[in-house]
Amino acid sequence: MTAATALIQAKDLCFGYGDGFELRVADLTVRPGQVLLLRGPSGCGKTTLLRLLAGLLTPAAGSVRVLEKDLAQLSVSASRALRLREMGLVFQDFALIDYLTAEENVALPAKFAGGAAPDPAYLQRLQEELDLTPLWQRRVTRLSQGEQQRVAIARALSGRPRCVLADEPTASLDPRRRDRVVDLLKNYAVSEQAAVVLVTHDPALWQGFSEVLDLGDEEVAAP
Amino acid sequence: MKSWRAAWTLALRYTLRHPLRSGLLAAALGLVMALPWGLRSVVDAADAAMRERAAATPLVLGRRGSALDLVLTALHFRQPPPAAMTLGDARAACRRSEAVSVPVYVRFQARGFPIVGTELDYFSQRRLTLAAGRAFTQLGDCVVGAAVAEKLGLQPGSALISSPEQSFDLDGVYPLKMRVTGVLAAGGQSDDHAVFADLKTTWLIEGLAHGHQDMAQAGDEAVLSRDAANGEVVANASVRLYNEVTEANRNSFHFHGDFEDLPVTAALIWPVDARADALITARFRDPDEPLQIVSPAEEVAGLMASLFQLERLVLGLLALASATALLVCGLVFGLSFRLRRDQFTTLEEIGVSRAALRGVKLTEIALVLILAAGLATVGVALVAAAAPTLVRLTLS
Repeated sequence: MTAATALIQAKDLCFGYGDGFELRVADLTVRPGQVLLLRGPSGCGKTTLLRLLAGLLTPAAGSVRVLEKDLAQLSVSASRALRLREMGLVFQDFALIDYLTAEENVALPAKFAGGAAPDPAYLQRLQEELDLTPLWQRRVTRLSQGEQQRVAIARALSGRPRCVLADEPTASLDPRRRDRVVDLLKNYAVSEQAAVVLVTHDPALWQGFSEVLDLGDEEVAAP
Repeated sequence: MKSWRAAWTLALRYTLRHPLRSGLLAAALGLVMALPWGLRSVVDAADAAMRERAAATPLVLGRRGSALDLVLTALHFRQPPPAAMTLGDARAACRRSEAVSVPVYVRFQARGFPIVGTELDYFSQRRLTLAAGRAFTQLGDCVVGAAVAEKLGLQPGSALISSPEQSFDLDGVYPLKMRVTGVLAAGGQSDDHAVFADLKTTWLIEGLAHGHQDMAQAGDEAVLSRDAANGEVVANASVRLYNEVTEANRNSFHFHGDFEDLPVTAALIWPVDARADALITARFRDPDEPLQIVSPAEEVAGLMASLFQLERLVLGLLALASATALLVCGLVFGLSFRLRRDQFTTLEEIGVSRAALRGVKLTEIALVLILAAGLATVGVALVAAAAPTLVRLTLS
């Protein structure tokens, strides 16, 4: 795999829930170091597309390739292993484990992945960049929405995944922290040569991204 | 392997951070585990205590009636006692060449412990030794069991007052202040929980003997008439009756009637050999005979057979209750996992394997089971330690 090879690629995707909603994506490619912004109004299918890219939903037609692996060809366990080791997911509702501390939540994927423990210096840097240091030992139920969102971002990045799929990762953040998180994701993509897909409906974030996919269109293709 | 460690850590965190839920579940399961074991240990303790004492007492003579009541009173001092017989009956049951016969009179209590009126042979036949002091030798003396001494803080020289039967009955039994002359060494039997006194002392408590001020010295206010010629004095109720036997008033105590006619509850009989045993037993075979002779071993065997049947029934019911409790616990686990479905979905979505997720759930169940087993073990150990006392309390 060369540096220019797509880490995430979707072609001729088609998906529907059977209630009239239909998502069609002709072509989506995210290469190492790129951050793709998925935007569009609520209900247009941003989260659905993200879940298709993560292998959490199966498309009715078309294909999704992650790290050159066709998700449709992977077994359930291989698909899970790929997500655990190579993908970092930020869920819209944070999906933290409520009886664990921030630190334990962040360490969870690495613990289950079974590989080497994350580099402590890297984790320390992540804590500082997300302003989590004073919250590190607190149970997540005692954190505010914004703090929980930052913990969820730290969890997604803790294993240094090659692909990051972030669903509205700044929805609960104040403007200053929102900008810092966007910078963090952009820098992460470059420094780790990772593919980052960021979903947002916040127009304030729409500036400053070279790769943008508008899902409001009938059928869209990423640049 | 590492994912199993992660599953273990996650399950442990959940269990520790929900102590009330985990504790309640463990307690419920622990109870389910402990009940059959606890019941068994109590039944075993009852069996051991009953059989040991029964085997050490070949025959018991008493008034005809419930043989089991007679055995429980004669061996374990259970109250209320069955109807009494006379000391003469007890003496006539066997000749000295045939058996050692020791009368016991169990009717009164002192601060919740039975007072056993008997003779000094009782101690030698039961192989009881004194840990402190001496045996009773005089009217008003008593020897207390080890548990009585410990619980009431008694030692040789202490005083122990018998309990009145009815506080407001003028015609009832009045308390007697007894001297504790000795404390028995602990033997782990019913003797530890009893107060022993001479038969005469128990008759004194009953009012069959009494001591009062010297009527020759009594003032006119207490005397209704004096017959100087015959030395007879008729006194009224103001004559002072003694409720304690002292050096000064001992000689004033006297019995009205013949000792042979005074009551005893039972006679414990140790025949010298099997022939004597058969002869003594044969004497009371006639169902019209007002006295009966029973073999405690046989009575206890019958009682234990009933107890084991009852235990089987209780164990059957416990099995049903346990099954219900297990189903409820299973339901609680199931509901708990269902309530946390979002968390397990999150774990699935970040890529945790199905096996590891099953591992989390199984480890949580295992942790609660281990905690329950620990609680059950402690509970059973406590019940086993307390079983002899529970049995003794039940018997008495």
